[in-house]
Amino acid sequence: MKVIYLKKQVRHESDNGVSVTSLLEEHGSALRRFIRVRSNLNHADCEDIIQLLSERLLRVDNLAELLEGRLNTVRNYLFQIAVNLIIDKKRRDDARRRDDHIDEENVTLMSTVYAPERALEGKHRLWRIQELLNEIKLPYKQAFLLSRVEGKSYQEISDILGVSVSTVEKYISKALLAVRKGVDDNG
Amino acid sequence: MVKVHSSDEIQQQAAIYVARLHSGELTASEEIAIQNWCSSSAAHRREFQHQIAIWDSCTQLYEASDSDMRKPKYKMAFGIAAAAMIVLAVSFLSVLPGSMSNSERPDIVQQVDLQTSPYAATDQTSNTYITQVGEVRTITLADNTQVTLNTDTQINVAFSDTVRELTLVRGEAFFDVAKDPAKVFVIHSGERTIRVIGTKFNVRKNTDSLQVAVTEGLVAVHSTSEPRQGFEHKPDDTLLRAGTIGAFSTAGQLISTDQTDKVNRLQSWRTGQFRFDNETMQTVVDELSRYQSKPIVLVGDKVKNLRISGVYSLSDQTTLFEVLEQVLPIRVTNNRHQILIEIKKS
Repeated sequence: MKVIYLKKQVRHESDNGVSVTSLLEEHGSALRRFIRVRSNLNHADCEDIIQLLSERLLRVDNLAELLEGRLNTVRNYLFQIAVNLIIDKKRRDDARRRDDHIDEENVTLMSTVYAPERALEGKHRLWRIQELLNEIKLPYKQAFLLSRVEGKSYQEISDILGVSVSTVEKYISKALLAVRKGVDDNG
Repeated sequence: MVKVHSSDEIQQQAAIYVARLHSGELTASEEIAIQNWCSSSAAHRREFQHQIAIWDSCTQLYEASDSDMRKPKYKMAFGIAAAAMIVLAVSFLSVLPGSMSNSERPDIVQQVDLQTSPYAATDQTSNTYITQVGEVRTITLADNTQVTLNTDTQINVAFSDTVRELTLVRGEAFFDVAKDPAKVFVIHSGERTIRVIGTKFNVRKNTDSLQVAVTEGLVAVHSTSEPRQGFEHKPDDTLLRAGTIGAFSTAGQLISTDQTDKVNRLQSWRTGQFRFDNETMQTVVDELSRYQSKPIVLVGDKVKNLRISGVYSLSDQTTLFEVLEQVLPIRVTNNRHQILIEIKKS
């Protein structure tokens, strides 16, 4: 039994970088769909995120290098940037909404007072999640961590675990469900 | 705030949707299905957003575990730099390996080598093989070379038309290289490169050194910074014959010849055995530590200086510690985070 994977060639636009335009052309519709479902944003806000994303990509000096090692995780990489942008945007919007009621000084004060506690709370929750993951079937946990911590695509995880892509998706949803139920128990 | 407990069904559906959304392959109709599901009920939307939040926070799992000193098992497992191992090692917490049989389906993880190398243009195949902590497996490569991977080992194989190349990323492996005079067999490991045609030898990579023990044939070791073509040897290559052990580090190298017995002992792990020849407890524990994730702690100098001889089988989960408890004046306590070995109080 030999499983041999052929190395895939990485396509380059040119020697000195990657064409962001063609990247967005290739992944644009998947990205927009992803942003819409994740964020519930309207069309204009959605396009804002895409615009910010392309600006961010242009600022990455070693983009070609970064993407080269990633092969079919390019889309995951773009998704992750989009997630960060959505979270940033939400934070800014929330802050603006707060500013309507509380002045700048109080916002700063509040965040200093609550931040460490919240950070610790987050940390305890992560331990709890880690424990929960140790209780589920190993492949579920592996698939979940490979996706979440390693940023691997389902395709890559399927290669690593030797199961189909749809099975990987099933594993990941099972792991997520287990974590969700456990976190709920904890309050 | 009133806590609304959503039903299992809603939770399950949300988990399926979140996993689907992040596959990157969501179709237009699936998007509509998710949007409809979310807008059909506030509970649906809340559950979906809740799981998205969990999903996002899980990217920090590595950091949370790594930075916490009070949970040594995580720290230890997550300390390993290589990507896939982070996932695999942490989950394997049993004391010593289960079945050592090679007859069962190899449980070795195979993955696509994502690092594009300058040679990637040629028609080349590449595989990565990883063993978990406590696992020993034998694999057969495309050229019929047999490689036995010891605990917590990773090799990256990259065979091309002209050369059989392989990288020992970490750990220890025994190579029974199939003879092929047309294609040199090259093992890269840190600062050294090992070149052979067909032979049997054991390679162990430690943090800052490399140990090569030759059972059969001739092995050439040279500095990776001075690449060789084909079979060409240079005077500064180190040639190791059967029965020789070479230890290489940045500081230099140490060759000891006529060590046939020790060479054989160094690869006794392949048959699932530990052999100790009047070794100190510290040495034994250092060796055992490689086969399991929990730290083994020796309490007091008296324990550290105990000496042990004998052959112990790896195949049973508890035997080794049980036997040690019987032959030595020690007590072994196995708790969640560590294995404590201390002098038995009489």
